[in-house]
Amino acid sequence: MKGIFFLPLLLLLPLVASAQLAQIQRLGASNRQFAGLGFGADQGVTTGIQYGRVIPIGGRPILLTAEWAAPVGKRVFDDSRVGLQLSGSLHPGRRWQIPVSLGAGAAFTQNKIARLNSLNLLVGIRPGFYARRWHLAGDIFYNKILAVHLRPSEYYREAYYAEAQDGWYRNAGGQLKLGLSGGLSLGRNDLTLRAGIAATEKGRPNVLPAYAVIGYGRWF
Amino acid sequence: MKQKHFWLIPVLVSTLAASCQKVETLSEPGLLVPKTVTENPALPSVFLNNTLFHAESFGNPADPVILVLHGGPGGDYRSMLPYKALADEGYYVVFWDQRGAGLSERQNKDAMTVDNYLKDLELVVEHYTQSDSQQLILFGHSWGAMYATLYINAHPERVSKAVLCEPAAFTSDELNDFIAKAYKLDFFAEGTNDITWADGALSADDHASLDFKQALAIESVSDHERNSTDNPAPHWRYGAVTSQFLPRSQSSFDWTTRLHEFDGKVLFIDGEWGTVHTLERQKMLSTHYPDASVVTVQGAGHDVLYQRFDNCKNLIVNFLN
Repeated sequence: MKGIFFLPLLLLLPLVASAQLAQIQRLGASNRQFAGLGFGADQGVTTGIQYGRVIPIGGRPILLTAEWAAPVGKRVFDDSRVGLQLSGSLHPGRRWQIPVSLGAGAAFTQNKIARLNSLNLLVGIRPGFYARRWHLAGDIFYNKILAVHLRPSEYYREAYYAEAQDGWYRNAGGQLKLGLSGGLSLGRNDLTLRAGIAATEKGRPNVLPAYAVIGYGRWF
Repeated sequence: MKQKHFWLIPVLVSTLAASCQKVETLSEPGLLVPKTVTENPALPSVFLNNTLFHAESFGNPADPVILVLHGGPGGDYRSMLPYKALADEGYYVVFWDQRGAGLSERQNKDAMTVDNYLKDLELVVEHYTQSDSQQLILFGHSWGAMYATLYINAHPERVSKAVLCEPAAFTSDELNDFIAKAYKLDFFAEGTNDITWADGALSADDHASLDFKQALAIESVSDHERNSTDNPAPHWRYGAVTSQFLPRSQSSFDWTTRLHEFDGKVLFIDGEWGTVHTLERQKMLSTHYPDASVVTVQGAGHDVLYQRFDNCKNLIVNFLN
């Protein structure tokens, strides 16, 4: 079938910005921009950087964040993910808040058997207690893999299956994360920690079935 | 005002690109991994123990039977097919992809038990031999050599001889020792992150996707096997469910308890280069058998049977004669 239905989502590039490093309750007039660095276990031992900018949408402050992340390893640039996400709170200014984020992006990986480039959609909810200088909240993320472009390697074709088809595939699954998020603010600096379990959208544990990411960021 | 419509350019480009792209469904047979016997009826097969096995045989059925047991669990017999040449030496050579593996019918995890595997092998032996007195030789590689030992331990009187190439272990203690040495978890290694990072781009739960990713997992953690990158041993499909769930079905085992009753000769073949499948390990494992010898083949790793086919075939023919 023709794939008209999803490829315009290329426009939504990118996503997978699953590790929001900023403390969402700090959005406001005095905090306009944010830069952060994250490190931890998140589908591999991963390092990520973020840049965010507060933009008003519908009279509310919304954080627009761009992220790049990659796992460690011998080859740094063969695996990575990039993303854009919008984050805001459904009840801004209150202690109990329900911050939500919506993003789009792409994940790239190359290994011995294939090169995979995926288009993803991300939804995050972090309901919890947000004090002025700290927060403790639940951490729920859904990373829907809308489609993946898969190109089997020459090795795979030679050693496994010569007729393996490269191209776009749908029904590529999704990732669920369920955990806790905590954060602390010191002046213009934010420290955050997110940790929990990770599984496929049907509940099968990931190869790395947990995540734990520590982040540092600064508002300016 | 015109500037506000710049975003339309990528919309139009993407829509144009989309109209040229065919989008496949991952679970559609034959796209990522080969079709199995249930998806391609033209493949040679045999129905035993409530599952359809990919299987074929060469030679005269009245000759001594060599039953070939591939590695894995979850692998297939493709790399061992050159040994059909043993049919020219006066043997009836039988190949089969084990339960849920290779081109055999896929099975769910509940069917992946050691008891089921033993029953499968008993029925395969029964199917391909003409009488209980017909000579039966088991020829196994890696997991297949462990599987052969499982059978010999259960039926020491039924097997005439065995050729075992680089088994990892015959007891759970030996297996734990092997795993500890072969699969040291290194979170900072490229191979580890290749496996874990792929979840972010491909996370489907259908069999074909899991099988495809199982090949990635196998290829990413096999450095200790030290196989030559020239002329790699070929496979059809790694059965992910078999690979992941068969080992979990029996956490504690000892397949050596009756090996002392086995009076046939056993040839252990060792590839020179493996760092965990070492000569010492093969010698240690050979002591479980009353009459076993170990031979090292130079210039090869764990895939020695494929990559040093001529040497190994000669060794086997001499041993069987």
